[in-house]
Amino acid sequence: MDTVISARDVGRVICQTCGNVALISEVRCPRCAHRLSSRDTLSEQKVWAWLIAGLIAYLPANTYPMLLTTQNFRTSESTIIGGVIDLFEHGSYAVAIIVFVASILIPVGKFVVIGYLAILTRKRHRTDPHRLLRYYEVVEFIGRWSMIDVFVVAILTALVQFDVLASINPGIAAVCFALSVVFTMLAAQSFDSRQIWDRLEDGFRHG
Amino acid sequence: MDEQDLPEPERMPTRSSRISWVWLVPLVALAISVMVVAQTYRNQGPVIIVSLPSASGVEAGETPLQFRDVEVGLVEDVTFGTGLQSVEAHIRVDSEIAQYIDTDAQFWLVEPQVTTRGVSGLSTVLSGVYLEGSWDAEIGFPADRFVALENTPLSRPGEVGTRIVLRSRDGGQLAAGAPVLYNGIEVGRLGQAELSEDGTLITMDAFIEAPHDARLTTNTRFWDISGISIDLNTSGLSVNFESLASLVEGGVAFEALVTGGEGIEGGEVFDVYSSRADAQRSVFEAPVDQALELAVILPADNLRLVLGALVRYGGIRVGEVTNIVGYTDPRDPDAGVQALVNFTLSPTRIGLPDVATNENLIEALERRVRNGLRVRVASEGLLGTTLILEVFEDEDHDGRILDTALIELPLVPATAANVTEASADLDAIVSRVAALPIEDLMDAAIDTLDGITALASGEDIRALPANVNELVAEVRAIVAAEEIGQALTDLSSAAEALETLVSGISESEGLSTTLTALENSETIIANVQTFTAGLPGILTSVEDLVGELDASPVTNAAASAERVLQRLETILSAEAAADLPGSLNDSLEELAGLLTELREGGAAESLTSTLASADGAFASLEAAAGQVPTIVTRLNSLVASLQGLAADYDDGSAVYGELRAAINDISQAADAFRSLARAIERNPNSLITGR
Repeated sequence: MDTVISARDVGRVICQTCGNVALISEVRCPRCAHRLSSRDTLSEQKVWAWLIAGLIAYLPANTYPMLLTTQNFRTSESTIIGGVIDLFEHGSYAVAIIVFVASILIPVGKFVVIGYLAILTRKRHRTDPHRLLRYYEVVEFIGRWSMIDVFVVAILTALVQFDVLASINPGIAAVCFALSVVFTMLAAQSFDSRQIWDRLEDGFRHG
Repeated sequence: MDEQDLPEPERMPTRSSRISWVWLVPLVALAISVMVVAQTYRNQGPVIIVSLPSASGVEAGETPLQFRDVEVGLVEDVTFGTGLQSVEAHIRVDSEIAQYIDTDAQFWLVEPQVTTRGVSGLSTVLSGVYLEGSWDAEIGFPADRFVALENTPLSRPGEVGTRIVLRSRDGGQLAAGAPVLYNGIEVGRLGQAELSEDGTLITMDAFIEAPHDARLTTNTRFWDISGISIDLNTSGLSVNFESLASLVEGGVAFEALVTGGEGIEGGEVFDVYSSRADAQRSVFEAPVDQALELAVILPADNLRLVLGALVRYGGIRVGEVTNIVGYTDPRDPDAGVQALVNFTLSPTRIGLPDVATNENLIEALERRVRNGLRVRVASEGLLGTTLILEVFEDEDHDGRILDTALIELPLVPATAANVTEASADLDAIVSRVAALPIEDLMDAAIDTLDGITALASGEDIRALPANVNELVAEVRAIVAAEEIGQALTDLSSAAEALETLVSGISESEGLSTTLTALENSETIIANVQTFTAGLPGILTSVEDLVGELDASPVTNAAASAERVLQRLETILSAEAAADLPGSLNDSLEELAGLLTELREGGAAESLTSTLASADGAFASLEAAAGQVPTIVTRLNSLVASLQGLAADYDDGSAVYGELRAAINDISQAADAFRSLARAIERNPNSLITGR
């Protein structure tokens, strides 16, 4: 069982911009003059605020139609779930899975993971900080890929415009979904990963 | 590095008690969400249920409800009605419009329809059917259950116009939605045709849009313009159809064929006539108002009565035939099939009292039938080809009565048809015409014409006009010659002069005194003696002249002229003369006129009278000559006296000279008279010719 010594423990602070290690008493980075802070004290609030905003946006993103598809005079609306089911019924399993993963699995996973991290780091814990960090990194990396849905809608809208014969228009859900993705990404960014170690109890298991 | 070297870490707080501005984001998002939800909830109207016979394309979540082509609701659910008798569409209606959906609201399903008038509801082919609702702008008693109409309604509430009922005998051509035309302009449409209760008539609603409905009056007539009308007459073949749509789908047109009439309020019943001509006719044959339904049984063989045939009573239209069916008398099934003819009868027009109830009317009719009211088939029209039903009073009726028991309708007894068999009549006419000896007549006519031609082409006949013309010209020349008239005048004046002279001679008493005075004048006496000696000769000559005149051709000329006139007249009055050429005719006419003139103008007569007066003159002359011896005696005595006188006055006296001159004058006069007499003697014609 080894203990992790944080920079703060040794009276240092790392510049978030240039990576320079400075004394904790420094207010600005001696190298890049960026404002130094050992911890983002508002991080937790920000995470929760963005996360809740993301959730609020995510609800209409799923209940309202994502795509307005006009085909031979008939306009049909499809929500994300409905679109996935349609694709699945049409046999496009791969696409259905991609859409499902990108639009449902990832956003929901992000909410869960960020929420988990935020809750976990509030109090003392003994979870393996490396694993948590890996979660965090995955969430932060993968978060932007959720926008794939929005991009698909944007591209389809741009490409398929044959008036009454076939045309696709974005629904209100597309905007909500984009907002939700943006909010969750901001939530992920707001998370100060250094907090993972702040309340780490001794005897955590290395994972 | 030793742990001790490190500065004591400052325990800095990991979280701040400050509140981050980021919280604004979820708050705003929440606020927006709440607003949207509230808005949505507030806008969500009530659910109404519309019963349809079948869903036919109605889908939950897809099928909209439209009002004036604006979507005002959406079918949320489709369920079955009680007993699976109908399909119920649950429609979520927009809240703003929901209040207007009251008990008066109507709903119907709009489906694509391909009709002769075109394709309607085309958008529904691709977008699916939709429900259309119709309601007025007044908020009434709210309702949430409706039964959809089977057809698109004729007019929507709020559409201005007049709704009327059209009645037709044959609705085969008239389809719902068919146009109502006024002067070729579509001003309304027909509703669904429905059979009347007894099945003899078809009624349909019609809707005339404003402002054209103002043209509807009680005198308006409707007629069917379905199909093509082909008219073949002397001016050629005319094919006419009002519009292509009406060709297939039918339609009616209307017009006020007579002026006047009162405006209508809507709901009035109009008859649809089969053609404009019929409609026009109907104007003058006032329609039968309160009609009594009657029936008559007629022999079915050769019954050429048609539906709609008129029923007349004394020439007045009193009703029409409404139905003709085969009928077997249950009392006498062996009689075979007869025709049961239903017809309407206006009770007032046959003189039945204007009473309210049908029973009373039937009673009154029964009395009339007892007194001989009968029905028979009669013919009318030019050739008697149009058959009508005639109600008439049979003088020697057989006492049958109105039969109200046999069938539902009162049965009026019938008598034998009063049909002029037009074909038979025509046959008779044709055979009579055929029997006419037209060919013989023609042969005779041809012969006659041939004869006339031969006659006319004969040389003599051809020469005749020329000869006649010549003759006429000659006669004309003679008559027209001035000499004739002149001669007559001369003759007349000569005779008068002679008369005057002679009378002067006879009356001259002065002369005798003078003569007495001259009695003794030997010379005078000798002269007078010479004169006296010559006088009888003159008288003879004059007498001869008169005789000659009597025998002269003048009389003959007059007579022969008379004869010529007569002959010419005969020629002129002869029928053959009418056939002479026009010029000849004219000449003859002129001649006739001339002759008439001649006769009337008294040319011949005056000639005769002139001759007569000449005769008279000669007679006086003769008489005068009778006195001559006296004169001579007197003259002698005159001469003697003159001698005595001369003895008194001697040769040189002036009186003697004057006397000599007087005697010379007398002598000259006598000479002149003599020369005249001689001239007449030499040339009696000069009397006529004046030369």
